[in-house]
Amino acid sequence: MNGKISSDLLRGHTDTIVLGILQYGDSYGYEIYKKIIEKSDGLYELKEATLYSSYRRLEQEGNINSYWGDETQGGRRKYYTITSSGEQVYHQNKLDWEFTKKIIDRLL
Amino acid sequence: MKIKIENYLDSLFDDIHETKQVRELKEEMAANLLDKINDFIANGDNKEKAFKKGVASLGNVDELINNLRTASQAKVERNLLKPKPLNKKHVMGYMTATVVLLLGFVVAGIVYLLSNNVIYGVATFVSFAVVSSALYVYYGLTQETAFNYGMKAPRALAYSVASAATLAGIFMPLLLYLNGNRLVAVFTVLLLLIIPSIIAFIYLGLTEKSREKITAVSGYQQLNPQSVKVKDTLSGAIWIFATAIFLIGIFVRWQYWKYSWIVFLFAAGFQVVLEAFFQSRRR
Repeated sequence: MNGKISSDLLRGHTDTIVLGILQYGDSYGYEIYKKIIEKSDGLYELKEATLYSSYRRLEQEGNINSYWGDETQGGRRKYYTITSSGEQVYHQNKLDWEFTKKIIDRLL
Repeated sequence: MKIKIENYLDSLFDDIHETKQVRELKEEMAANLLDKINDFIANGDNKEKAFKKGVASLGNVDELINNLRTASQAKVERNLLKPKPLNKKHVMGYMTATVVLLLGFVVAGIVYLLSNNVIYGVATFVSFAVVSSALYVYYGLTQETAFNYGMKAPRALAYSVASAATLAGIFMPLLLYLNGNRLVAVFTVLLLLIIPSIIAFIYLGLTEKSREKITAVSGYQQLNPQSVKVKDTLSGAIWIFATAIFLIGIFVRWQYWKYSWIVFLFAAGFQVVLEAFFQSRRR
C-alpha cells in the first residue's frame, strides 16, 4: 500500500519550506516553486497561491525581504532574500520539527 | 500571452481596490505564470493548453485575495482617520493671503486719509482683497483633507484666477459707477471681467472630477442615471427660461437689452450651483 501525502500537515510548514530554500540564495516565485517540486522528487506540488500567501506573511514578519529584478523581457521578477531573523526562525522551526517527529514516531 | 495573463489576473482581483501592493502582486504573479507557461510550451503543450494548466496550478487564490482585501481596507481606513497636517507650502500660502488682506486694510486706510476719497480707499482695498482671495482659493483647493484629495495645480489656478476676475468684475464696475464714470465704461469693464470668468467656471464645473477618497473598497458610487436625467432637465430649463426672459425684455422695449442680458449671468450662476449640488450628492 502506498502512502498518501498529508497536505494539511505540509501546508503548516510552507513558511519553513520557503525559508529553507531561500537559505541557499535569493530566488523568485516560480524558481522557489520548482525547487520545492524538485526537492520532494516530484512528490509534492505546492499550489502557487499558497506560496504567495506565504511570501506575504514572511515579509510582514520580517523573515524575508524582497526586491525587483531588472528583467527586460517577460516582466520583472520579484526576488526574495532571507533575513537574519528568518534564518533564526528556520533553525528554530527545524529543531521543533525534529522534536515533534520523534514524539509522533513513538506514538504512531 | 503576456496580455492574456494580465487580463486573467485583472479579472481575478477585480473586486479589490487596487493599491500599490495589489498591483505589485499582480506583476509578480504575471512574471511567474509566464515563466511557467513557457515551460509547459517548451515541453510540448500548445499555447491554449499551457495557459489552462498554468492557471489551474495557481490553486485557490481566495485566501490570498481575502488577506489583501483586509489589508487594503485597513489601509484606506487608516488613511481616513489619519489627520492631515497642513504642509509648509499651504501654511505659507494661507499666511501670505492673510498678510495681503491685512496690508490691504492698512494701505486702504492710508489712501483714504491722504485723498479723503472713500472710493479710492475702497478701490485700494478691493485690489488687495482680489489678490488675497485668489490665494485663498488656490491653496484651499489644492489642499488634501481627510476625505478629499487636493486639486491639481493648473485646475486650482484656473479656479483661482476666475474667482479673482469675478470679484474684480463685481466691485470695479460698482466703484467706477459710484465714481461717476460713464455707463458704457462701467459695462465694458463688467463684461470683460465677468464673461470670461463665467465661461471658465462653466467649463471647470462641467469637467469636474470627484476628488473624494474612496471609502468603500469596492469603489465609489456613481451618480445614478435618474439623477443625471433630473440634472440635465433642470439645466435645460434654466437656459430656456433665461432666453425667454431676455427675449420678453426685448419685445417689451428693445432698449431693454442693455439690462435683460443679465439673466444669463444668473443662469450661469444657477448652472454652477446645480453642478455643485449634484457633485456633492455623489457619495
